[in-house]
Amino acid sequence: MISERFKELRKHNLTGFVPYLVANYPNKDIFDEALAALSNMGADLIEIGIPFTDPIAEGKTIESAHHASLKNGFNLTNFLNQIKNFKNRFDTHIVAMGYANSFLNPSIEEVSQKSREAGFDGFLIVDMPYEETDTFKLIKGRDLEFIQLVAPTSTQENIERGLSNNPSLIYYITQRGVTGANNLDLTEVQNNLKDLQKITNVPIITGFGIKSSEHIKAFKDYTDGIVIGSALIECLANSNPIKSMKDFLAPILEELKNE
Amino acid sequence: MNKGYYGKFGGIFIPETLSFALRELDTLYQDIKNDTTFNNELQDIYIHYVGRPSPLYFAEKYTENIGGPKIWFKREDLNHTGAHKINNTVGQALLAKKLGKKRIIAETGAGQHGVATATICAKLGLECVIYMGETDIQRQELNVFKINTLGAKVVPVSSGTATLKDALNESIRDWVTNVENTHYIIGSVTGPHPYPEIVRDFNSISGKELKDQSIERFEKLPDMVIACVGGGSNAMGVFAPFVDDLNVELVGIEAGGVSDSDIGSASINDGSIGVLHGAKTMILQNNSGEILETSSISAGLDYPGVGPEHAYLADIDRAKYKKVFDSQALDAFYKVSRLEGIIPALETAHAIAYLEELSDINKDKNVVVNMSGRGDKDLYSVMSL
Repeated sequence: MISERFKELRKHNLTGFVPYLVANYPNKDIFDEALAALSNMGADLIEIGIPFTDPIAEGKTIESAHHASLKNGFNLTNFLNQIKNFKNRFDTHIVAMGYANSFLNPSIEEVSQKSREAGFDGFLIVDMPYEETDTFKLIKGRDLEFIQLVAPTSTQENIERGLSNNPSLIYYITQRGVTGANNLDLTEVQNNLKDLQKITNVPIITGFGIKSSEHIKAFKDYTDGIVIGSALIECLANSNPIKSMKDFLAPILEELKNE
Repeated sequence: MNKGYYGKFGGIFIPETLSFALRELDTLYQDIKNDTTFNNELQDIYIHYVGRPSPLYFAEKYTENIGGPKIWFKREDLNHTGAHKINNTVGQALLAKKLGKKRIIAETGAGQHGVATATICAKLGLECVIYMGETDIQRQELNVFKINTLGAKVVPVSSGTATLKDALNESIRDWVTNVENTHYIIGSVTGPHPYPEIVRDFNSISGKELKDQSIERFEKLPDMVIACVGGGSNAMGVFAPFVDDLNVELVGIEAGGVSDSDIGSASINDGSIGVLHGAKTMILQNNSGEILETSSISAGLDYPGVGPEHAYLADIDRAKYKKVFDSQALDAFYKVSRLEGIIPALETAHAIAYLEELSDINKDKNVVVNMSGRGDKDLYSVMSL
């Protein structure tokens, strides 16, 4: 279970590593290789973006990756077989992260069922509001966990409404803006994470615009996991993508492990 | 039922960052919508700035030509800025002022909503940024120039299909980033709650006037009201006051594109249920839930979704939704220009084209077409056909 993994990390005062990839970006082979490499590097959870035509919360980098993957013929059914193969070799936790419309076709029950069978551990649906409680129940009914987004603009009332759905993990969005944005206010994030921990014991991962060991250093004592998304996707666009990704991640992983 | 739903359609499908802004807007709107001071202020702008009420015009030659029911046009094309869009933008700009937000963003397809937004922002002294797809910028050059002239900024959007839906995506991204000082004036009855309700209410001034004008002119309610539907704001505005008058037939006209083999933009006729831009509604998508690239001769109808309340009215059979193709719309564009001396917007021409189907209806019946906009903005693109 994702929740247990992160509770364990918290117990040992560790900060989890949560990389984000876009399914089959830049292509199927490199994606598979990146997924395996990240598992071998000790990822605690990997978020896999399900490509969508209109990913409204994404900045340019990830939006382009979504479109590129769709252009290459991304298909969820085929992709789930790929995931099955990955899960035969690795026990790394993985969640499908995406937009409501990708999860509702043909129905949330069917997509949940098939995703679970393929080996997904959970969902993070960016535009699924706390109010859609039935949807969260259906997801959990298929033995999947889900991650709840909390933003700097979230009111306490709304956070509590979200918590009543019993998420396994909270994903704290560091800034007002899209993924990969450059408006990080380190102190504000630290304070908000502190406040959030007063409201709930649910483990918290933190993401949006985190791309340096300096960021990791600033946040790691306040969160149970760090999400690296856009910066990773940029590495994968390079000519030697896996090496570029590993080089980029080396200092970040070191900082994460640094007590 | 969850908040903001119309039957199984609607909802608030947005990233959490925007949640507080939508709640704030909803709370303010519910407080203010029956507030006398606010409504007086709005009425004053409607009368002296927009030029309301818009006339109900009897289209005598068109009636003769069709040889069926009496045909009337509700002249929203005579509003300041040339379309129904201003009804919504003035209302929302006043809301933005009450919210204390000094920066306005909006998406635009045909450019009418962009112009209507830039116009009221100029009047009220609000900063204004308009997102517009590059494809639309090319086919609506005149409106881009108008927006700039009004002191607003046009930001070209090149991602995806570079049309209205991508302009909407970019607007949402801007709003997520600047949500604390920015109000997003959505231009149609689409998007997350409370937008479909707000945009409907501000546009319903046309339907309310039509009700009174019908009694005045022909001593009863219309037998049929016809309006074009892209997102569906002009249609929802003119339909809303009649929804409970079950004898009034409501007909929405969607854009079918070139032909039936084309994807077109007819979300209710050809689409299926899904989530796009914050609402669960009828959308044009493939089996994997990816949004399709739509097409229409009219930029304002070229959108793969539709307001959730329209999806609901279709679902419960209260309104029917028909499809008109590009060539039929173009025929109507010329026909109404020549018979009545009114050059309609290509969007509106879709609704007018449907009149050809009505020759069998009794001569005593009264059919009203919502003349949602005028055609000046489309002259360049029609010229180049």
